[in-house]
Amino acid sequence: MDPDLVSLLITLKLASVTTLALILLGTPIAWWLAQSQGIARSIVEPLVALPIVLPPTVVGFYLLIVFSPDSLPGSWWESATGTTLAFSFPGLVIGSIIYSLPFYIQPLQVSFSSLRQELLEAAATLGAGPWNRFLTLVVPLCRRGFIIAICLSFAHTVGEFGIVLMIGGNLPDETRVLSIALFDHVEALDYERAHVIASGLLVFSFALLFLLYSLDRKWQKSPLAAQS
Amino acid sequence: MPSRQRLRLLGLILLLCCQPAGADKPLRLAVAANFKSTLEMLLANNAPALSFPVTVSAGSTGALYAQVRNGAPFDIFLAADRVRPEQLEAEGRTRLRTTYAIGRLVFWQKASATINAESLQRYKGILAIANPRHAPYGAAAAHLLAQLNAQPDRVIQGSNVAQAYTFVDTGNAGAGLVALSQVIAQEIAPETYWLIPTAQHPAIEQQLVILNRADARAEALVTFLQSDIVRTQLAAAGYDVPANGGMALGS
Repeated sequence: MDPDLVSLLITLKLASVTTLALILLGTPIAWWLAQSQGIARSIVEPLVALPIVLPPTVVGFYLLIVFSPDSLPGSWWESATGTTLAFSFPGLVIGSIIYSLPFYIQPLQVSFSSLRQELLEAAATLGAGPWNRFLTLVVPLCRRGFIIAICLSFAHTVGEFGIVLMIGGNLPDETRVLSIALFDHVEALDYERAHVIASGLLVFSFALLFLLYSLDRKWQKSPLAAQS
Repeated sequence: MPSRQRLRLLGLILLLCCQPAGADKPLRLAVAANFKSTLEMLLANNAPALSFPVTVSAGSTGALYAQVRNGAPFDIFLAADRVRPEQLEAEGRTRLRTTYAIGRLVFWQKASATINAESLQRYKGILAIANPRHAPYGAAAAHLLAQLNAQPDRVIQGSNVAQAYTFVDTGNAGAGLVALSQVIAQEIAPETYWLIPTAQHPAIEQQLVILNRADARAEALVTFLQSDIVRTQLAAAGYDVPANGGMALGS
């Protein structure tokens, strides 16, 4: 298979796995942030936002140190799996989760905060349990937040470069994502193949954002908008 | 702030920005990241030898090449290889091309007590090298591995030799093929690295070009880089030096 095609598949796999992990991990955090007040929230909120302002090289550098078999987490992983976390797909997933965390949590948190509490209370009075309330009330009412969060974290992971460059090791069948393949082509002066990847990423990102904004305009006109 | 005062401030800022062109204008050097600290050391150690200011911009050779092609205001481009200088020369953007340093490759195994020619062949584990496709240290490393038929468990690539070094230094890779200049600069214990004989891999020739836009100070800087005192300092920093100072190629 063409190596750039392999890179495309790795990129899509990384973005999908990362987004899935963020749905499982980020949703409770977003919910908690939307509900809670006080000191814990005022610490967690900026922590979640950190990857927006930090250069990816900072995250990549710290991950490289944490992943090292000389460190506790790194040695634990190595004894459990026999491989290192750096230069592996699971390592990239961890990096991507951190990198895309704010892009998942922030839109969802806004969405959760604007949820009308009376609706949840009414459902509880009618005997709906917490899971029932979440799945039948919160998810449909906040679907706009969910879709924005999912699309943004997927797209942001596709666009990830700095962290992968720091911890990936450029393995053609495991960690060479599209942005790294593009970097390699540019470095090797193969501008023709660089153009293919660069224009592909550009069109993909534009199409995704175009879709997102159109959907958003549609929802703002819908009657559910008042609640979501 | 009253508007006249604001105008005056604006005028002052403009005045400061528009320094007269000429002798005070620095000579702009673009240098491959792997040579940046060495170049800065050479410039700092021999400051009296240069009568004009110099600025140093570091980057990857490929990125700098693209910047030069697109009109970046550099006078001299010190690349990490000879491919990009040759290309710029072929495109008619340069007036001189010459080798300024020859890199040396070492096999560095952090945990090793004694190291020799067989250590690399026997090595199992993760081996870090620079990217063979565009980093000359990586190309030399890949050639060496194939020639020795060395088979580490996994060969991982840094985008350049600095990253390969970092992978070993942080413990993520057990060993690496890195630059002699790096282990010297970091004062690594000599018993943990083995200097690969130059005959075992293609020469890591670092070439520079003087770009057409440069004035005569560029030639003065190249002469300085080829002076005996600089050649001695280069050798101490872990580079071989070209056979003689006058091996300038090109017009």
